[in-house]
Amino acid sequence: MILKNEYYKAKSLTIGVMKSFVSMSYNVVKRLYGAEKITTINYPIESYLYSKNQMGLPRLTLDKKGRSLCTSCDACEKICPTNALEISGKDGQEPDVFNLDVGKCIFCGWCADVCQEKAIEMGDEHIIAAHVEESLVYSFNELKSKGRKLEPENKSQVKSEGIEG
Amino acid sequence: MFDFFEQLKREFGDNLTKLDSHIELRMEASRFFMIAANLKHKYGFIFLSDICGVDNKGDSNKDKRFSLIYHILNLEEFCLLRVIIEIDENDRLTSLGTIWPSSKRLELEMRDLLGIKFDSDLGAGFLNPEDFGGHPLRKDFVPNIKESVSILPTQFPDDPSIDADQRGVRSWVNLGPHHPVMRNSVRMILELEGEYIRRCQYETGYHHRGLEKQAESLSWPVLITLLERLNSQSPFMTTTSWCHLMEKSMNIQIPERAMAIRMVFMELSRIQDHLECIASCAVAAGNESVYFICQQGRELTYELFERMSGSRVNPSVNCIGGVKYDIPIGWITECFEGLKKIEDLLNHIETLFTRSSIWLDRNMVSEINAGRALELGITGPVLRSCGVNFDLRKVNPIYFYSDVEFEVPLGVRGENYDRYLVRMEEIRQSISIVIQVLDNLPIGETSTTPTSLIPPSGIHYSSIESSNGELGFTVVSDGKSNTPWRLKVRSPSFMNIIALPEMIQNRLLDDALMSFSSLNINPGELDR
Repeated sequence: MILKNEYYKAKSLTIGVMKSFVSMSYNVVKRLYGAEKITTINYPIESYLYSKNQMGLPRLTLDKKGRSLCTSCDACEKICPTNALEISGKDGQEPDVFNLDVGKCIFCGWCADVCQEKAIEMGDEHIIAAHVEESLVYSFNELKSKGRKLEPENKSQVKSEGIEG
Repeated sequence: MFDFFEQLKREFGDNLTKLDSHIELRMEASRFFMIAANLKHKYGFIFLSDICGVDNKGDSNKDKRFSLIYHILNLEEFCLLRVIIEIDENDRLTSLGTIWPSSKRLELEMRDLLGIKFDSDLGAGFLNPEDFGGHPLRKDFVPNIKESVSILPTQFPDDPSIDADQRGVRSWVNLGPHHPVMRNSVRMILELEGEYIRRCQYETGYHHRGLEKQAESLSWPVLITLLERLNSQSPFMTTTSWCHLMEKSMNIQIPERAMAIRMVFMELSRIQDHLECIASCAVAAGNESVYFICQQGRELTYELFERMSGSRVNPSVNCIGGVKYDIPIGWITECFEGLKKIEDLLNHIETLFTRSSIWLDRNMVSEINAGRALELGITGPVLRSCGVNFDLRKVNPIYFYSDVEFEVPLGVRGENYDRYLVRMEEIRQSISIVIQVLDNLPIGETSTTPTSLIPPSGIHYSSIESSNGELGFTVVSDGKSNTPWRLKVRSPSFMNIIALPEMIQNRLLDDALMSFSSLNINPGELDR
């Protein structure tokens, strides 16, 4: 489709002024009396409606007694594209060190995808701030306190759907 | 197509093999440079799309150090020719700059990053300082970071064609990179005579993140997270191009619903990117009101992305084998409402800009000749504004692009105004594509589980029409390891910038910024 020739001809001055005047007054009236008076929202008092697919900070899932399901298999540490996770511990047991550097985390969700035990999942917390860089590194206990407790029947359901990494 | 192949086969014999999507030609380096002119003039391979250099060190199957992969396109037959040549570390390559002028920038990049030697002087490089000490894309590169800065001199060498009096009135101006219109991407050094630009040089590399080197250390599935950050304006295009390449190389059939969802989001990204370009043109011309109208339109598309995936800028919807999420309930109605609002905004912009005498006066400058644009490797709306009917959605349709009805707008003169008109019309066509796809949205699954995650051994290339032009990836896989051997991004902004000095030569200084923003250079895509 070749663009029309008339697009290249300038409008006459009278038509131009008339059109811009009409357009301007239409928009002024629309802003003053129309439905869309304000386009912004009063954030953070008024919260935005987020999608259910939103990924926030990764969080741990805990069983009924408050223990983590993590078995220190290191799969999430290996797949993390920004090296935000640091894990060490005996295989099959709760890790000794489990640090999450929030400053590095980009909320991509690979750690949750790769975890066979479903010990880590994407939460909804995403408004994070800190005064010093060190407080952006979350330790295991901090993460545990933010973790989500699983219901027993829910846990077995989740386990059966595990994806192989 | 068949006759064409036979004709080629007669000349090149067994070196030529025909594959599904392209023709592959393997030959000695010295012979290729002899026949290159022949390929262009006799067989019509006028468009050099990409050159990818690969370091073979540590690969026992290859006996020479480097492989070079040329992708050359015949636009009439839409035939992609891949030429593979192998050279040793001390061999000197002949520059193809006289045959395909676009190759010069690609060759310079190869010289800087891979250390391939050329027999003629190509000029100053743009990625490595001269005393960098090493070539980053070589496999045996050891980073040895030194504090060194080498920037282009602010003065030009003397022009022998003018006399001393004229030379006396010339002055030099440094434009960018810290300029609101240029988005910290390019530094321009202009030689002025009065207010007219007589010579221009540009310097890129301010956003070089070493994406291609970093990709060699990430595993195949995780790479998508990195590549999404290539282009900040339309990240969905990059991931679609990458997923399409992976699915094509591993023979994965994605469900129809995933194809449709990808098409919808690609077109929304295109709308968003074009609106950004028009906004940036308006700011360069000093018109703030159209800037805010365009930003309103972008807010609508961002909101649609956010409702789908929860993220405004990097939607992370794509995965290899389809899309991660299905369209949420009520999203389609929101999308139709948003598109209606965008159409209203477009009409508003059109009242203010199209055929307005001020806008015409400011924009009827900086033309690119169609033939020159093809020589320089320009793609996308910039090429179409010159009148060349080349859109990968039409000539090499993926997904349902062959089923939907849309037209490719073509400009007449290749000026800034044509680029503006083409972008406006493309937004309207994209809206129509989205409506057509959403009306006939197939039902079913949104993703399949890929059988393997590692592409078979060999070279893979595919490209899609992104909002700025042809966006493709060349990938070399060894078929075993979890990381790519080499990944090369063919990004449209990297090539489109070549036209800039010619466009703004003998133009006013004011026009330089408008011409720059009409190319829609994205810094992330430009430097990678």
